[in-house]
Amino acid sequence: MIATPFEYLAPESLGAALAALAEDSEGTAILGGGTWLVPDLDSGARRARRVLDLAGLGLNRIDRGEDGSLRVGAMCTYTQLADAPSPLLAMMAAQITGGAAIRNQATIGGSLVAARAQSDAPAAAIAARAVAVLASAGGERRVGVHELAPRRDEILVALELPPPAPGNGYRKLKLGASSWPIATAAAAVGPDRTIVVLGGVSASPIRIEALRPEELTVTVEHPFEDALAPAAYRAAVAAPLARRALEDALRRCG
Amino acid sequence: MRLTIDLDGRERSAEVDTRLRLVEALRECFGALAPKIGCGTGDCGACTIEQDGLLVKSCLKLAVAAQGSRITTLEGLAPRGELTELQCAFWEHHAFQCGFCVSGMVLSARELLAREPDPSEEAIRAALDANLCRCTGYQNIVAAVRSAASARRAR
Repeated sequence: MIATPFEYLAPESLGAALAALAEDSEGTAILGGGTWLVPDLDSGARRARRVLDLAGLGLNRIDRGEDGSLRVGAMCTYTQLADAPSPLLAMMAAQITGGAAIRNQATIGGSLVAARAQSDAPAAAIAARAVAVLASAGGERRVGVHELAPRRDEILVALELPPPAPGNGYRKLKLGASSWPIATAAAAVGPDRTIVVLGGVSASPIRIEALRPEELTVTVEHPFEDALAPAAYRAAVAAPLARRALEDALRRCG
Repeated sequence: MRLTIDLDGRERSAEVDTRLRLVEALRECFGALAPKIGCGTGDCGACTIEQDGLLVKSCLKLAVAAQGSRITTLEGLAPRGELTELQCAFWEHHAFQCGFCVSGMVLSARELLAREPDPSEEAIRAALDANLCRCTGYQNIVAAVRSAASARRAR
């Protein structure tokens, strides 16, 4: 049981949610899928006077524009994303560890806001050139996912994705079936831009504007380390994984 | 607060503390003891239930957020005490040792078979990769799921 008492709020509109958040933004924890927040509240790593549940706001839609652009609601689960017309998000979502249950519960928005080093979603979203739509009582603003740092009075409501690049590759390295990733690499190859983004190897994703696979070099300045792999291991696997993802993307480009 | 849910086919209501996780409320307030409290972080799968038709880990949910939902636990699969084909396969293959993981294992296997009636060995293992068996009895569990799938196809 969670040790500290809190008030549970389940607003039914974004306006009501933002108004409630503005009343006590410092003391409010925003609840998406719960896969990060609920264990953190339970362990005491996170304390909140209020928990604001986004489930009733209808933020779980995926809308496709005529040009192939995509608006993905922040509460979309990995199960939804696995079928979404975004190759990078779909490949990432299909490989999420935790089985059907986690894919049914965890949300893309929650993962991006939690921004844990070992998460799968941030690197894939950055490679897909996703823009985060942040709402507060004061209005809306948009920032690239690579710069995403929501203020306490803001709710991430959606991601906006441009039409997908013609070639996409996603590679994930983990050493056990039920393990968190040790490293992920997402590559997108288009006529005007090629990008590879590494996840899991440092506190935030590493963007490499590239290039051809043989030219690709990676320097991980401050490698992330956990029980699964030491920093040196992560630094060593980063470049080969990035190269493989880029090769996949180039091959799919034709 | 008062929490009302459809639990294993019956409408049930109980007073729950806002601070309870769903798995705790199911066990402590509703007496549903099939879902177990294992890791509490979504890794082990012992608390797996089905909520509104979707497999979920009930340690990652607040009980108060489950208002009005339809929940199926392992006990809901055999309400009259007659085991389902899948449960029989677990029995016949001795697919459990201490029994702690079995509720989550059966529900995850059931979700797989509903989606994929003829799963490959690889698909069976993938569907169970978020359910940990601390007795490491995985071979028999996989064999049970395989056998339940072929029994179903033979019908």
